[in-house]
Amino acid sequence: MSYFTEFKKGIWRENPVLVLNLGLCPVLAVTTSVYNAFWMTAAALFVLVSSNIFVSIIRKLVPWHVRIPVFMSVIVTFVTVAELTLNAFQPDIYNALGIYLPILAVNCIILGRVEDFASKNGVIASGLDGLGTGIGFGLILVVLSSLREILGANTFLGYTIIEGYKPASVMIMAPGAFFILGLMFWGLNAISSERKA
Amino acid sequence: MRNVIKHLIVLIITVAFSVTIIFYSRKMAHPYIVQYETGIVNSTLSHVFPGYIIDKDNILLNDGGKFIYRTGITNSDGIDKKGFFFLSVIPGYYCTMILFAGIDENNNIIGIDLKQQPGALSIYSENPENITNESFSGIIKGRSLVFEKNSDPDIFIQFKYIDFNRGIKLLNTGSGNQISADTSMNRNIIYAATDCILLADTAVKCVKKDLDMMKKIVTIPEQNTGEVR
Repeated sequence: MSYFTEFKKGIWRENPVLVLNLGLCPVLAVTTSVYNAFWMTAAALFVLVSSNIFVSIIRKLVPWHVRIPVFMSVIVTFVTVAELTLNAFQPDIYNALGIYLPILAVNCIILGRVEDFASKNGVIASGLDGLGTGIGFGLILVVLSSLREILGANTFLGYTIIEGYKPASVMIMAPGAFFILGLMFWGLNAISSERKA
Repeated sequence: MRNVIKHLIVLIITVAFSVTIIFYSRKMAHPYIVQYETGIVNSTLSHVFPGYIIDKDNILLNDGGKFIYRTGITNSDGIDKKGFFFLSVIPGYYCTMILFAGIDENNNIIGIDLKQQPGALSIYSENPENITNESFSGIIKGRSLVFEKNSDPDIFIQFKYIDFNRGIKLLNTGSGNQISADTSMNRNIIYAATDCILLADTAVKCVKKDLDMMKKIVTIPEQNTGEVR
């Protein structure tokens, strides 16, 4: 399988959110604004790529029986680095993301890619897999947050979209997230079904 | 046995790697985090208590409990005036609120600022939880607090150097405050506490707006020399 295939599979065919249904907690929680989604994407991308590369490097040194604790330690390390970096340089975003940033450490997407792919493949392929998966995760976050912010707050990146329009605040709340995510699931399934046919 | 030792060594190396990376990351990030948090503290203090130079936390034991306060100095007309700043925990309609409050040497209340509305206690609660946080900074920076149940209302402990029987005149309720209609009332400190109960309405709105600052300035009409023990 080519490197490009490894990269692009996480974006569409094996999209972690819409296809594998993983990591839904931050997807639903932090997509109230595009800024939050962007920075959560950046943090997840950093952790995914770093963890994948590092685990791929040490994969032959790690005994099978202790692989999960080792992988978890690696992931937690990179999550902590991301957390400290955001706390230092983007404190407002750090506060806005709240608990959803540290719980990246137990995000199924990250542990899943590390365990399922990086522990069995080379460094470049693992890095590209992490990059593709992170971008696939981020795309969903950004699209979902854009729709929620526009519909629920009548803003995009903080700028008002339509003067005088009264936004449907339910879209900013949890039901709105489920509603839009459901539509996205439906859209992806419809496109996939059409392609198969 | 050999496998166990090998596993152990791998785990130890992994943990050592993690600790090293986290240690150096923390070391690099720490100055920026401190700078940001100091800025938050200073801006809150200067916003609520303009003109005061405020020192670090003082802690005194009070009937087995801690009372944490800060002192500050302001220079008015060439005369140094001292102020005392402390946290006040107030029962609200929906929950207990934490106010950041200050008085001057003459027991004039300089400012009250809502800092947190931690969670529902009970409706019409009369007895707020006793706050056991370690410092003002923790509150200002929005860190979580630990509460003790069944404690005496902090309002009485913290305002004990104010004469409870003396009236309080409401001078300025600030924007968005719904209790200003009652300014003609000759209030004592209980009413001051009741003010804070009434502020719950405003506090709920403030919390909905990401804990926007709420300011209220009240003044005791006559001086009453009280000292912080």
